[in-house]
Amino acid sequence: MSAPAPPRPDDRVSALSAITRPRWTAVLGVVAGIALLVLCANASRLSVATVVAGLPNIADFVGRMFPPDLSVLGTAVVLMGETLAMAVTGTVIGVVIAVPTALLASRTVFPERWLHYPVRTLVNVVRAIPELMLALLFVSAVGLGALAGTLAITIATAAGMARLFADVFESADRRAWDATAATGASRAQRITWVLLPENLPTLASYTLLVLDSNVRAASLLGLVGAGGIGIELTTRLRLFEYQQVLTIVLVVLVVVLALDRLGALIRRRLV
Amino acid sequence: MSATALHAADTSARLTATALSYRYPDGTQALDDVGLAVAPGEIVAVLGPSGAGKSTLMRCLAGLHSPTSGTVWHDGTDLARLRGVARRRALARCGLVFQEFELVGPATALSNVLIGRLVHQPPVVSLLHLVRRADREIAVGALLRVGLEPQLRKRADTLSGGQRQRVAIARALAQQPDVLLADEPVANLDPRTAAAVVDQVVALAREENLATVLNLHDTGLATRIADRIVGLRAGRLAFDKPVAEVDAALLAELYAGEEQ
Ligand SMILES: Nc1ncnc2c1ncn2[C@@H]1O[C@H](COP(=O)(O)OP(=O)(O)OP(=O)(O)O)[C@@H](O)[C@H]1O
Ligand SMILES: [Mg+2]
Repeated sequence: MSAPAPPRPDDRVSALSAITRPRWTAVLGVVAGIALLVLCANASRLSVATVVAGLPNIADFVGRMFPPDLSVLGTAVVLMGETLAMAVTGTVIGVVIAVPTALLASRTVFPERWLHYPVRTLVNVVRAIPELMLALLFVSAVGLGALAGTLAITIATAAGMARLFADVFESADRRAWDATAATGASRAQRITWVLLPENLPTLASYTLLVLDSNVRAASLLGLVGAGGIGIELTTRLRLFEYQQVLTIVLVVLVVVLALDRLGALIRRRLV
Repeated sequence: MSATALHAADTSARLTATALSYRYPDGTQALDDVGLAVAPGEIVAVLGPSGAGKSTLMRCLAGLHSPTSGTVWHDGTDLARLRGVARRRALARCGLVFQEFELVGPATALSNVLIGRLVHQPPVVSLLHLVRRADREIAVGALLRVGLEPQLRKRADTLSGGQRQRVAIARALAQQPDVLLADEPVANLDPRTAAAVVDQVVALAREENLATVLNLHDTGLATRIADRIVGLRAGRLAFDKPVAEVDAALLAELYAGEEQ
């Protein structure tokens, strides 16, 4: 067998720079993806014509909301206060649970599979339960009212944030962590001296975002009797009191927007 | 040269590597039968082309990699055999200065240097960032020695590259080590700052009588500050000579084939 002549540099360059043909599996995947999308659009009855035909109905619905009926303003404000309290309490306790859970679920902090694997699985299972379902569960456990809603928000936040924080910890810069390990510091020391200080701004920023979404969630939990402003909203809707509905919606809107601004302000100072 | 003979002959050495080989999990043989001995107060510079295994050697000497075969002796103890607290105590006796991005950015310079004292703290209280007064004084003292008094309470990520590297040096000093290892400690600094930082490392190492191994890219700087030069090439020891015996021809041979 004679050794082949070494390829000329030109040949190597042209061979290496040839465009790689897409593999047929990739082509098949794209086609299947498009087909799936079409099927989904069909199943969700997506139809431009119906939307256009429905526009006057929306206008009519909105028209009947005006002018807002301010007689429910007092009740709405009080209930919104309760909603906010539920969201804040649930977020704070949820995050307090989420941080240690996230540490245990991080493969980089606890490479031991027997530790991070079950924690990760538990977090994913809990995260898969919709908030409304959790609220129903807690209503049947502790009865109607704000406690059930607060518990639902706490658990949902704990699981959701644990997953998010675990990803933050896993993608964190390892160099200071490794350098600290080389000084002989223990893992617990490295967590409070390196990992948490490095990621605190990110964690705080996520917490503010989730507080925002928890306020919106808490506004709806009343639908299943788990406290907050949602119960008033559904009652008024059922009674066709659209002008009162508008007042309630406006109160929610003002609070959510104010919170959003406040969150943005704090985040800017954090990072 | 028999590696065991090297160890037996060099009982005055504080850091000894005998027949050191290291293979990465992917099969790369990064070190192959390397022997090295460093006495207290001695400054050894490691030179060699890129990929020669210099960083790997540093990590093995520091006990961060356990050798595939051979042993690293630190004052007669083999780090690879230690576990738990004993291992962490032994790690602390070896100060490390690597490239500059190894500090906790949002923490202050002082907090970063206190990390060098953590191994000596009661385990639970230290989690709350409470450090004994004596240890805080050691950390502050280390920062003063590298000339960072004005930066003591500044966030590490607001410092200049040279200042940051001085914080890393202070952290290593705060460990009160007897071995100092530096892997390209000044690679990201401009030549003048780099020379100043290296001079400071060397001065401190001599004051503290530390067995010191530096890995530098700048051969001129290395031959100026070191007592001995170790040449590494493709994972093997190319030479190990007092700096007076290292000439341009030897260095040219060491780096032969590497385009600059
Ligand atoms: N984590 C790793 N996994 C696999 N191989 C590695 C790893 N780190 C380094 N190597 C390989 O080991 C060899 C020695 O690498 P090392 O980093 O020690 O070289 P070096 O002398 O420090 O080079 P440089 O001067 O460029 O920093 C190289 O061939 C490198 O590709
Ligand atoms: Mg290197």
